[in-house]
Amino acid sequence: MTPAAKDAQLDFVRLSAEEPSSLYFEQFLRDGFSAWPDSYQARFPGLRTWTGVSGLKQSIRRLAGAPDDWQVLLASRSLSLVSLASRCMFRVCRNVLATDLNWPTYHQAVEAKAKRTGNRITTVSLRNAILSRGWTVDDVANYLASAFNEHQCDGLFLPAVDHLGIRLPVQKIAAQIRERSELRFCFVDAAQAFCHVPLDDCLNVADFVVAGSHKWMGAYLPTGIGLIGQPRSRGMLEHRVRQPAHSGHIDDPLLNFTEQLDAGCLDGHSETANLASLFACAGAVSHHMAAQGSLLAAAPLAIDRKLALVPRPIGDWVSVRPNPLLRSRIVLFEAQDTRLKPACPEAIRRAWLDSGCVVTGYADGRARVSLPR
Amino acid sequence: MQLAMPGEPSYCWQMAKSNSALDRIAWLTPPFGVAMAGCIAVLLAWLVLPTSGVVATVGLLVCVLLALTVAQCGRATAAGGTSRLETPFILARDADMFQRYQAVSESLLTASRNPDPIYREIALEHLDELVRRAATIADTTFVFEGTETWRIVYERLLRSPGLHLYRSVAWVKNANYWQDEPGRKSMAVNFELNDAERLNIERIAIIADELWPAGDVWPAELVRQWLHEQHAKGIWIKFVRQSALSKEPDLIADIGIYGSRALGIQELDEECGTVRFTLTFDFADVAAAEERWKRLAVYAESFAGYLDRYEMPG
Repeated sequence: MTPAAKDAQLDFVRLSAEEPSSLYFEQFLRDGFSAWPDSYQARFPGLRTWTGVSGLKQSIRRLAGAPDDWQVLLASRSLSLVSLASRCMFRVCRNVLATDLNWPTYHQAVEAKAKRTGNRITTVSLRNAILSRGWTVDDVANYLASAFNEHQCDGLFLPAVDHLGIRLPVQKIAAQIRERSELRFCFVDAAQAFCHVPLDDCLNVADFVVAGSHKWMGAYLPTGIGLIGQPRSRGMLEHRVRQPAHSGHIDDPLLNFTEQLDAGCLDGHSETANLASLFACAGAVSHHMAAQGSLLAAAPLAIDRKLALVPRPIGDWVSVRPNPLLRSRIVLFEAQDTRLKPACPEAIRRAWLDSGCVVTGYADGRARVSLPR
Repeated sequence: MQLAMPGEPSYCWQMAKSNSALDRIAWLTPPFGVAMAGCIAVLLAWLVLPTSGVVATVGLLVCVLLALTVAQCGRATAAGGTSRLETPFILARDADMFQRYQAVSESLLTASRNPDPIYREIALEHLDELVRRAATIADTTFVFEGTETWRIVYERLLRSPGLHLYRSVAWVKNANYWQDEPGRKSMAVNFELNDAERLNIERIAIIADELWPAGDVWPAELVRQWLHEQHAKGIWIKFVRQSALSKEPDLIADIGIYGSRALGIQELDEECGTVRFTLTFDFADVAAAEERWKRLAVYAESFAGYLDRYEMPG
């Protein structure tokens, strides 16, 4: 959790306890810290990063590098936005191409939506080819464009960075697909990419980008973040987002609330939304805005240098790294000597923790390390 | 349905006579012949063979008779055709159809009792028309002429369970295309089902050049708004100038493909009123329409792609 996110969170808890029904609260929510009287500003300084819903959206837009006319959606969890994106995607797509790099929960949600709407999702394997056979950016783009054409797909669902650290060349893939086929909708899961790698290539081609605040942004509390704005799909997506809560299209109280607040028309009958994550998100965004530029532009060399410094358990743990252009700050390690391979994820975690490194262990004996900035 | 009645009464009577003779032969000859042959065989056996031999002969004959009966049944099933006598029995399995069969039969009986020759002449003409329509129905085709009532059937089809994809080709000859009350209601059904995610809708609009002159980026205001509304509500829209299809005129039509189940062809007058709507459930026709749809899609550009390239006028 970034320090600014922590401060915002602590002062929001104090505000809730000390001023539970403040008359200033709605104005504060809408217009931000600066709309408060001085006395409140002095009492709750940790909330100074709160610039209102519109202000937060604007900051996120800048942080992501999205154009000013793009819309930012804020939801209580990213799965709500995945659901919204797949609803929109399966209005226009009959067969969506996906890969085994997708986060399983998101993949299942999209697959379920495909089935419910009489459409299909075609999943192709990619991870093994990238990690074991050293596929390049061109190999990946060619393979996916061919699969798209062969399976007569019309939609694309990809992670910008998968949970095991493979960074996909989304723009190149989409461009290659468009050379041969009709790509109607491109949905990118940027949960592992936002505040980790630049999102430019996703924003150039994706109709819907879903991210979150609790991973690389460091807000700790989850907030789903959606980015929409391509001219070709913006009207359709905004139509869906604008639909009233009772229509059942958006099943997320925070998304409903922030959209209403942003549009200046609270209906007063919406479900109670938990706002706590918004303040932590605002704190984390301000932290990243302050540090932006130098961090995201970090050269691969910096990543390699950091990798060499990662403390690791005794034994023959080596990093499993894809082609340099497909790498990210998430690195996989595996024990070369199978006799030394820990028996379960918990054992891997413990072995690495003993050497001073927190990792995620997997049943196949691999350990995942997220390199800090 | 086997309700077709020949036009000439005398021909009808002769056919009935000859048919009944055939029927008599068909029903009577095999049992009579088999019975005679069996009796002779048993009589001969009784005269020539000992008792055990007679028993064996009777047993063999019973087996042969059973085999013949089974073979006869098999032949009747394989032939699949129905004689006039069988028709009501077969139709009786389908209560709805049988009810109609009875009603038509009763009407025919009543009509045939009327001796007035002029009445008979007119009645036969009308019945001939009825026969033609029944034959069209049996051929899985329905025709609605000069009426917008086809939209009731259209809505029933769109709402039918199991239908997930509706592909439509709209031949927009006039800016009033589907802008009248029945058209707007049909569009409302499209939007409702698409919005509820019960139906995926794709539409290709063939736009007359008068409504989309070659130098213009966008089609005429009304048409553009009509397309844009559908695009914004999640209907996948493509469009093409009519002149772009001049080398493939068979693609220029106003059709709806309802899953792989049915095909609707709408014929419109210059004012976009329905002249005829033909609905067919013939799979070959649906498959052919799907092929044409694919060819048409090659010429058409998506509204979404167009929005990427051109700004829409405010």
